[in-house]
Amino acid sequence: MVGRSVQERALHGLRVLVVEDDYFIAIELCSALRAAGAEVLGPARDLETGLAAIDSEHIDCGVLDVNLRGHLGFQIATGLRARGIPVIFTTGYDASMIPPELADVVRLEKPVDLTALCRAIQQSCSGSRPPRLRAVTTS
Amino acid sequence: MNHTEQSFAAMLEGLASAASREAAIRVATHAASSLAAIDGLCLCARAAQTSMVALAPGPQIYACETLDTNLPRLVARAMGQSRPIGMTMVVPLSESCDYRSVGFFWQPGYTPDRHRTEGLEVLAQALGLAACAWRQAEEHEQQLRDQRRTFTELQHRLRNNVALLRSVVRRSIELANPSADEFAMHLEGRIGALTRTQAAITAAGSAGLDLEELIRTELIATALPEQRYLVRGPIVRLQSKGAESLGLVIHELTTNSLKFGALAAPRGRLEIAWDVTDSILQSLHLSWVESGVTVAAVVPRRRGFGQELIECTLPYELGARTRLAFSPGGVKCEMEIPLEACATPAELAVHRAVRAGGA
Repeated sequence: MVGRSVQERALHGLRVLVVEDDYFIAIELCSALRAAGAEVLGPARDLETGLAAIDSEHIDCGVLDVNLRGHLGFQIATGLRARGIPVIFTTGYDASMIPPELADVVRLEKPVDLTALCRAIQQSCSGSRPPRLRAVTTS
Repeated sequence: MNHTEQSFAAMLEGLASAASREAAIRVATHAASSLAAIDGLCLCARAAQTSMVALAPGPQIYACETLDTNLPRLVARAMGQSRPIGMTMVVPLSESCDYRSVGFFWQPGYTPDRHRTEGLEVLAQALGLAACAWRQAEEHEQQLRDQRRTFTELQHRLRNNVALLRSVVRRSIELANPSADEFAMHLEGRIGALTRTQAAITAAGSAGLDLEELIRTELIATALPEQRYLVRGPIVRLQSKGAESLGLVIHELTTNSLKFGALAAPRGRLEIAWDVTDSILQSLHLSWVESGVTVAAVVPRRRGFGQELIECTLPYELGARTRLAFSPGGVKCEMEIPLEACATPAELAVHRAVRAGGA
């Protein structure tokens, strides 16, 4: 069901960290990513678990919820980016909540389009920025 | 009118129509500099709601808001005198103003002429109006900030709720029994429960939704007489996430009970009770106990949505420890949830204080 417009197994070989505090949303994201061939790390349910994963795992991309039980999880994004790992935000907030140093992070608004998520990961990991997604995130 | 009176009249008009804090300050500063041209005063625009509107330190005249009893001392210090000095002139302000009056002090030996005292009176009124405009502008800005925050928060909640709803639908499909009717009924029930809980959370506001209200809201929605169940426990105000998850859990347990359990059996009893347990990590201990169900409990063949909520969602989202048993006589469910994860910060503080007091 997911990833029909994304190439089958498009994320094959990629290790994706998922940080999301809502159980059902986490399950949904993880199964979509697995269906697209990714190896899912997590889901991490809070800031501590997410930060711990950064140091202990090999990660190709981070999919991060911005608000983790009232705490803003920008620390995880900063940590990942410091290691050169691309980051994607899934969030219910608009762009004004994102600090300036993370303003260029691809931001997918909830409810997240799972096909777009897979595409964003694929493009982040291949090093090119998706022009179509940029248009979505600035609307 | 002489020149000074004219400029004051213009200033008062300007103050009356000042649309912003900045405009009011500009007008007042201009007024003060007009007066400064007469008396060589300089304006130090220190104005806070409870503090003073002061002219200091000029060579001869000092003005302050007279509610602050410590001001004569401050003024004396500004004038380089060790002893507090009394007020030499007090100008009462109009009732619409935040300040009752403005006081003026002057150096020993200095006597302002009538022309200048009149000028000071007008200046006092102007300062009062400026302070008032300033406060109103600040209140207005605060309101705007609050509105923006509320809007952002609502937008966030809306998006999250839609996302949650979508994933609940997806999960319901994955876990559904083959019957489409049954699936639709379950889904409607879940959407209803999410909506009720959200409405109750919004109504409760920042105080947090009381656990008892959350539970009763779900039970009342079944339209069963209240004698069919017992709900008891202390006031525990919940954070929105905690309320949301627990609301769904209560809904699933209720639905199950209506179908197979105590709420369906003629002599069935349902007791929902909770307490805050006094361990190092304080936690909410919530139990759902059904009894009097004569038909042997049906243990589901595979994990359903409700079971997943209790056994996976609560541990994941709230760090809860849970136990769900389909025992003879009825379903028993025990949930132990760290208070930190489910209660509002204020509620947490109350329980910590109680604990510290009791220790």
